[in-house]
Amino acid sequence: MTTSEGVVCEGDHVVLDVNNGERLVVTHVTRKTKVKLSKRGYLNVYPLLGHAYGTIFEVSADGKHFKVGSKETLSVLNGSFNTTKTERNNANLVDDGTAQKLSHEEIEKLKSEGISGGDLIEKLVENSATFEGKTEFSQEKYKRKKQKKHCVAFVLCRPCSQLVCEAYFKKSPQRICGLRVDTVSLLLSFANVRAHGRTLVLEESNGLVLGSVLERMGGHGEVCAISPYLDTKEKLLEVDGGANKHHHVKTKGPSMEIVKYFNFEEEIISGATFATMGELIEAKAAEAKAGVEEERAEGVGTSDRGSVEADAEANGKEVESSERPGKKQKRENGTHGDNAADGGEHQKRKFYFPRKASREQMVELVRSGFSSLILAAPSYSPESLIDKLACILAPSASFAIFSPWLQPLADCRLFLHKAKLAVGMQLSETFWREHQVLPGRTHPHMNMITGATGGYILAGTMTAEVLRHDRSSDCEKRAIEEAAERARERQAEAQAEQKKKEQKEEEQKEEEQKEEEQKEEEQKEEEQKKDLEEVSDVSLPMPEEEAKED
Amino acid sequence: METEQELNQLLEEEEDGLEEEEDGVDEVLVEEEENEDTGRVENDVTSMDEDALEEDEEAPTRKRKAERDPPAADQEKPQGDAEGSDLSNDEEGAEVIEEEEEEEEEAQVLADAIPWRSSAGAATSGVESLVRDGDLVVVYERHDRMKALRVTKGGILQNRYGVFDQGAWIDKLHFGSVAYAKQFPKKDGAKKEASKRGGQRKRMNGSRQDGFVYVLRPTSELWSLVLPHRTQILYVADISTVVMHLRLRPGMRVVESGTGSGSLTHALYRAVAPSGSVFTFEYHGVRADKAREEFVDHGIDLKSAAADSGKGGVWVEQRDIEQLGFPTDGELYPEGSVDAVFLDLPGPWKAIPSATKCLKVGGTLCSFSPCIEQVQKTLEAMNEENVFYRMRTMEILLRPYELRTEKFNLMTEPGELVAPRTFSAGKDPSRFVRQPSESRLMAIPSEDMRGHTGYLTFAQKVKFDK
Repeated sequence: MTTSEGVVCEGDHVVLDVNNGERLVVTHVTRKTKVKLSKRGYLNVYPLLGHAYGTIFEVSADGKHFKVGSKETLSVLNGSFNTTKTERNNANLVDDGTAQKLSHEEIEKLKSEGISGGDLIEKLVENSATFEGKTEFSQEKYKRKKQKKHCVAFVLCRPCSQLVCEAYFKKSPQRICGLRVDTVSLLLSFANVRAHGRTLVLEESNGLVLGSVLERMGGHGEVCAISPYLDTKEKLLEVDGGANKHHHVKTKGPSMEIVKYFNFEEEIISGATFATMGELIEAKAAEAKAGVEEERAEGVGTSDRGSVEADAEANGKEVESSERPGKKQKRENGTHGDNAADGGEHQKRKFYFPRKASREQMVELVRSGFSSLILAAPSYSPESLIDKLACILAPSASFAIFSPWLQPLADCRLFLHKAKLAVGMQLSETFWREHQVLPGRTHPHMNMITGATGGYILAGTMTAEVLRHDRSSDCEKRAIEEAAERARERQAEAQAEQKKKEQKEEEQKEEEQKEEEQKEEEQKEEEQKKDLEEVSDVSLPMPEEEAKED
Repeated sequence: METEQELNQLLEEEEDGLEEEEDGVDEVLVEEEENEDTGRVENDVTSMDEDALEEDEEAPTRKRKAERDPPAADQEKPQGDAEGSDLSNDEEGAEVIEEEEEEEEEAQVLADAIPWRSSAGAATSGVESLVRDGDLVVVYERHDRMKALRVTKGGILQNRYGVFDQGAWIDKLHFGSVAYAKQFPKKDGAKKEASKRGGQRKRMNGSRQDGFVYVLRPTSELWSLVLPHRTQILYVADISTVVMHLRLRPGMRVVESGTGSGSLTHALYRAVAPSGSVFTFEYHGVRADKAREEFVDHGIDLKSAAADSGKGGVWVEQRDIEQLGFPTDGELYPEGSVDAVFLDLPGPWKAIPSATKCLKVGGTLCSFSPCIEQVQKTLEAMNEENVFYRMRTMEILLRPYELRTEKFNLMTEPGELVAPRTFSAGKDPSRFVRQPSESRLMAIPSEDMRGHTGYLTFAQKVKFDK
């Protein structure tokens, strides 16, 4: 891995850079794999075996074979840089489809005779009635067009973050959540991803970001890819005692499909693990209970027997408690290995994926915290993620958050600022475009092949506030608070009941008293009335009283 | 030059009178170069420096006097002020210690791609996130006011937020922590200024205020914001694109020219560390030496070029690449063994032939030029070599956004009258409602966006049929 002087092995993934970046084809080199590079036919890529990365190939006219290209292949492809000015113009050019004298059949015939790309284009030029009258610029454009159509060339490339990202971005950007290559490169830079770092990755790009991180770190340091579930297996089992069969969904790692395209050797993957967010946070909570922890780890842990075994054993445990998750995981692990393992005499490529982090690994990871964080999970609110994850980051950790939208990052920035969790924050977007540079014809490319936007990035440095921003024991705290609340409520209820009783008693007493008083008053009133009536008839009685009296 | 601008700012701000002293404090650690450039300022700065170190209780009149008399103030020791003199001595002492440590630095096991720390402090603390003696730290005041320094036991940092004792950070302060000033120059203007900038913790009684700064662990990105500029430098957008499109990974061998201020070199090495190496060539002798000092200081220098010991580093050499081309004699690296070449030269086309020889098959070449004419010439030269595939030219710009909370007025219901600004006599205020509004947090592109940095041209060297 240290030098790029490799050759293609069976089972390798390779990137074919077709016609100067016109297309990027990511393919698997096996006996059966065929790719379509030209309109004519499918190309078997198996003969690429043993060729050095960086070799140029020319596809035959029938599109089914290829051979190593020559200098001429390249010069045809790159065109000429000598045309700088023109005296003519295209005033007499009429596009009626009659200019080319060679018929389709004749061209096909030439091709089947095995004419080289350069010669074919010369033939086409010779037989074009209008070629001579065109401006030099048009002539060159014509040649380029014909070259693209009739002679396909490609360069065999070792897959790398840049090529894989560009290939996906062109073909199916939604699968990598719209991450453009410049955005990926900025994420890696802003998050200070480097050898001997500890990187935490939460992504929804099917492994593109994870692969890029692994590539950048080259097997030095640790990477942990997490899925954004807060539940841990234990907690889920606690809830329903294993009745729910879909626990594995919430406890397995994130999708890492694209990682396989990077052809990682085992040592590159060795420092990489996956876990769920909940498991790491729980590990942090456990780790925080310092002294007790070590004994506990010894008790629980499967210690130094290598994480495969540890994993298998962990899976075994799962099987006991809840059949499916364990089995499925096992099968997953198995198939990754099996893919490459069916027979063949050539040196076989095996694909390695990050393994499930063992309990000790998790504790070890969170002990000193992650020094880099990359979030590329647009479907989650970034502030909620970073609020939870802050406690497992190292103070002064660099972070970079991607979102295709601006607003969530703006909110997140405000949150981090208010919580004093980060400084030096930068919310930005990139403007990226390519230029055509030709003498006298230099301008930006007409079609934004780079896409309209690469999304937004929030980056900055975490403060030491992460040491205090502990959300790990939130559940416990909440439980305690709830219990306290309940107790308080009960007390309050009891008190309220008591009060009610007292009140009732009082009320009863009062009522009794009142009744007595009323009686007395009534008696008095009656007496008074009698007195009044007796004293004078002139007093102004209220109407009600009148009515009453009636 | 960034620091020159600061000095200009300083001069402007001095006119405000009240802020003089505080600004003086801020610039205590101004580099020698700047002082040479602006001798007058140097004097002022030094005098105010001394003033600032005096006890807060000093009578303002005496300070004024000292200011008016700069040469005298230079020699003048603060009278009857033990603490003040201690501080100034400490500071000088600290600088000397710092230099010694740099010389004593030895090879050590890399703790990080770029360790940023000297071997002296390596053993003092077990906890990774604690600041150690001799660590390079980035002192963060505001997003646009940062500064790199080596932490030393007796070191004193002074800026507009106060006087900081670096010794108190060692083995106690976590990276990313707030460091409070142990002493703050007591002056109304300074207070006003500092609280305006936000780097201030207010005490309720109002008798004294402590300034604070954040102490951050350096990264390649932070370094590019604080490094001493010797040339125009590349920033994060271009740097990350270069690293990505050069397809760098650990263990690779990169060749670069010119070194300039070393901003990109750090990022290149970070990408190929720990076993890869960067060979960087600079035609300017002094710049090459300064760059070498920096790499040694940061612990990323390549000890010996020839030995492929598995441990990488950065190799700096003074060489005019445009005139002489890249070395292809095999002394530094075998011909055709380089994974990536980066050119940042006024005439990159002159270096293309030798760069092509250095490159291995499948290796990538990149050239950075501000002008499109340079790009054209470079591409012509590359085309002549006829080994380059997928020559592409691109530009990349970072568009920063600012956050603002804006208030929007809302429409009222029919019949609801919004209260006018002023009520004329006879109008009944109770007939009106207040203007309803809502506040919203929004992002808006920042004013200070860079319009252009340079064009990046990439190409891949390919292999043919022989």
